[in-house]
Amino acid sequence: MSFRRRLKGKQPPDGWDLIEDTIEDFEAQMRDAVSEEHEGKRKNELTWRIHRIHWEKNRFIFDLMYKKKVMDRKLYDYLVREKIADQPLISKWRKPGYENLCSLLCIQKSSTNFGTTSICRVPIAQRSGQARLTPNVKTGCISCFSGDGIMGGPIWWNTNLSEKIITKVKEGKRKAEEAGIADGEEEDPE
Amino acid sequence: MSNRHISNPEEDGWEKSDFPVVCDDCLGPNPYVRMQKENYGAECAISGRPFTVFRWRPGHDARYKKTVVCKEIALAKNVCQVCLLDLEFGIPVQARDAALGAISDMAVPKSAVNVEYVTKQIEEKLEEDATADVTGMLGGVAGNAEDDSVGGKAAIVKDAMEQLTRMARKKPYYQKNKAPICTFWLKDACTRADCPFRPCNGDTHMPELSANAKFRKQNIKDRYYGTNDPVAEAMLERDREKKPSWQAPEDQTIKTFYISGVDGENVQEGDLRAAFCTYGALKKVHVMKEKKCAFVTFAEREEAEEAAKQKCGALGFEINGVKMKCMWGKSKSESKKKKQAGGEEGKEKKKENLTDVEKLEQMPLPTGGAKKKYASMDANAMGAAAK
Repeated sequence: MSFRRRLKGKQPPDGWDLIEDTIEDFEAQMRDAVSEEHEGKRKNELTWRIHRIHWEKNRFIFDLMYKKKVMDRKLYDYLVREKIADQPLISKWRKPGYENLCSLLCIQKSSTNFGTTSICRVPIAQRSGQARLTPNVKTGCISCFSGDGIMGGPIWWNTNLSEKIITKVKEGKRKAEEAGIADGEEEDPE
Repeated sequence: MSNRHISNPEEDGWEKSDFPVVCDDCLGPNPYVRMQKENYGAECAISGRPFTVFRWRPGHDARYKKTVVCKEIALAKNVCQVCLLDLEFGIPVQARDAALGAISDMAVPKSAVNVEYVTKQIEEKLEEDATADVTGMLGGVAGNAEDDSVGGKAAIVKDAMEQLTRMARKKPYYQKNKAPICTFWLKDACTRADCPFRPCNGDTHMPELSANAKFRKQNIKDRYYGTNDPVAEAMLERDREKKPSWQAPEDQTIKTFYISGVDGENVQEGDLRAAFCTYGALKKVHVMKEKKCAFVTFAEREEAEEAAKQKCGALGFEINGVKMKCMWGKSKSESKKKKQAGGEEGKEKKKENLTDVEKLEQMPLPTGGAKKKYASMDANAMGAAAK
């Protein structure tokens, strides 16, 4: 349901008209992403864009509220109450280690086979050979570990891999080789 | 029809187990394996009863492996629950049964009722004694090899065991755990950044696509019952063409045997003399302690041939509990030729022929990927106290 319809007849707090256009823009993007063609895509890939837009919308609200500190508390509470902002996600971002978290799904341990968080929480340099640039299947996030990423955001499946990221991948390979772990092939049993 | 409520599945013949029966190859090179277990997760491909499915990944670039037949059915034929190859020798059922011939009686009936009966029997026997030899119940293999020393049966068993050892792999074979083929690559549309599947991961060896058409046509039932198994047929064919190892070389001057696995302590020159002198007069016995081998030379060629029939073979022979293998020696001219050819490459090969200790010395000490927190994590520190 469109948020416009939801908010009809309710008096928004001051400052809402300043962010209204941007929020609407995000909602429009979300609508596009939901109705996007699925042809030629993997099953898992379908929800990736939705996760990314959701992250960006909430990041916009988070930045105004907690980074630039220009948003009124009343307006923030209103956004949360009307489910425009994802409060649990934003409150995670305020905790150390979770600064870039791509989605709450990726730290949900109960939904994995061996009770682990998802691969995107592991620093790229410490991953095993085959999973270095593989995105998390649920969210399409390659890495949202606080040390990786660019400009403080996660590396998404469609982010351009910058020099910095490639250096990290190479560093991981080098470390694995030094530790005597053959990359991609098993050691000879003899 | 609505589903019948089952109060006690095990009483109904469903299988619930704690650990699968699998071969070393399917478990992979890493001794630590994480397994998923699902009770009554699937239908056994042979007996059709629900069984406990185990699933794991043997190594980080391998594919997931999953049990396909139930434990009892696997034990009845002494095969792996995943790859259906013999547990001991790692060869197809058909090849093993062909080698064993009349000795083998590991028959599992094909009709549904009889299969159910046999699995029940095995289950009961396992319940009494978890280590029971269920294949023995149906007329086993390994038990026969030692018990039956009467008449010609022992010789038949020995021949069979020899053939099995010949066909078996000497080393673990992890190639069969390779990652699957990328389905998007097949459609020419793989866009993954680092695709873990073949051939996108750099491994272009794809026998599923390139092997002979007859090898690509296999099914679980045929492989389990040992009928129309193309792999087993090819294996037996190759074995038939192979010269038996006791067959004497053409060069009549060769009267020497090369014996490997001789350790200078438990087996000494005298022991070898005692083992070989029953066949004829020995000209020379030379034990090379460092290389763990020995050369035994006979005076007469006929006597040497007689000894070869008894001692040479894939199974080897035993003295004082030490297993050794015996092979015909090579003629001098042949080995000279090899030496000359090898001389040029020798320098390059030298590096590979280092002993284990030398290899260890040359290896760089691991510096480790993670930061060192404690002195004990630093291999260069040689223990905590040194620094």
